[in-house]
Amino acid sequence: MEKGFKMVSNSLLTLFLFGLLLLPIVSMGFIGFKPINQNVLSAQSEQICPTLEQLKEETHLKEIEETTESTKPELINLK
Amino acid sequence: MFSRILIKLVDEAIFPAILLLATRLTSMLVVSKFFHANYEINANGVIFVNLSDYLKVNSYSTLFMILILAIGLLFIIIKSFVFHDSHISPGFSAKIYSLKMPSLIQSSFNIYSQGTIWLSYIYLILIVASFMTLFGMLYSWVLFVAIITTVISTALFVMDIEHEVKINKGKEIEYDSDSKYLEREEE
Repeated sequence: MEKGFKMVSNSLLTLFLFGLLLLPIVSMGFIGFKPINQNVLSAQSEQICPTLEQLKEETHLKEIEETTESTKPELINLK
Repeated sequence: MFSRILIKLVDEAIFPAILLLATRLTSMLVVSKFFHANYEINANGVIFVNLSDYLKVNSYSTLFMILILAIGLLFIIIKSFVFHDSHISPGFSAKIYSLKMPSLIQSSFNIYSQGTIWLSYIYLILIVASFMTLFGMLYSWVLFVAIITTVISTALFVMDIEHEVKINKGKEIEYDSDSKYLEREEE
């Protein structure tokens, strides 16, 4: 009984010692690097650089506009 | 109930742990103010916006931690070489007692338990600094400072331990190799 208690108390003390030893090392991880405006930047980049699908859609719309302009009813000769 | 050595080690580990933690936090704030670094404090800790700022602050802050450890180790090494009770000269001992500073003279148990803890800290910082340098989070010259401090302090401690072992060997009772009288007794 006493032997077991001694073993448990010593292992707890060892754990505490390891905790103390690792405390300053853990504090070294308190600081980090991360661009704060990452979300803003990504949103901006989306605005500046549209995706391929957006580009395709825009060109498709332009093409439709051009076609509709070229086929205006007043320009069609109904001879 | 508790192991005497473990209690001594825990006792000796509290002060450097708090000192290093305080050094890290203080130096981080001072260095970031000195370099006008932009940072943000949130739940994850102190986050820097600029990578170069982070590199500077992290490197100098680690350097301050190494310097504090070097000062502590130097103090322990001086104690082990000059104020060690096993090899202090009687004249110098008397002088220290006359100056009313007998606490400077310490036993091997005190000095070596302190040395073990402070050396463990420098080794742990060396390991972390190596990884940080490997991943480009620390200037490589800071790692060199850590390596030099670790090597010198370890070498000096080993020298003192060797000296201590020699002294203890000298104190051992030496028996004559001639055993003819012992044999006669047996007869």
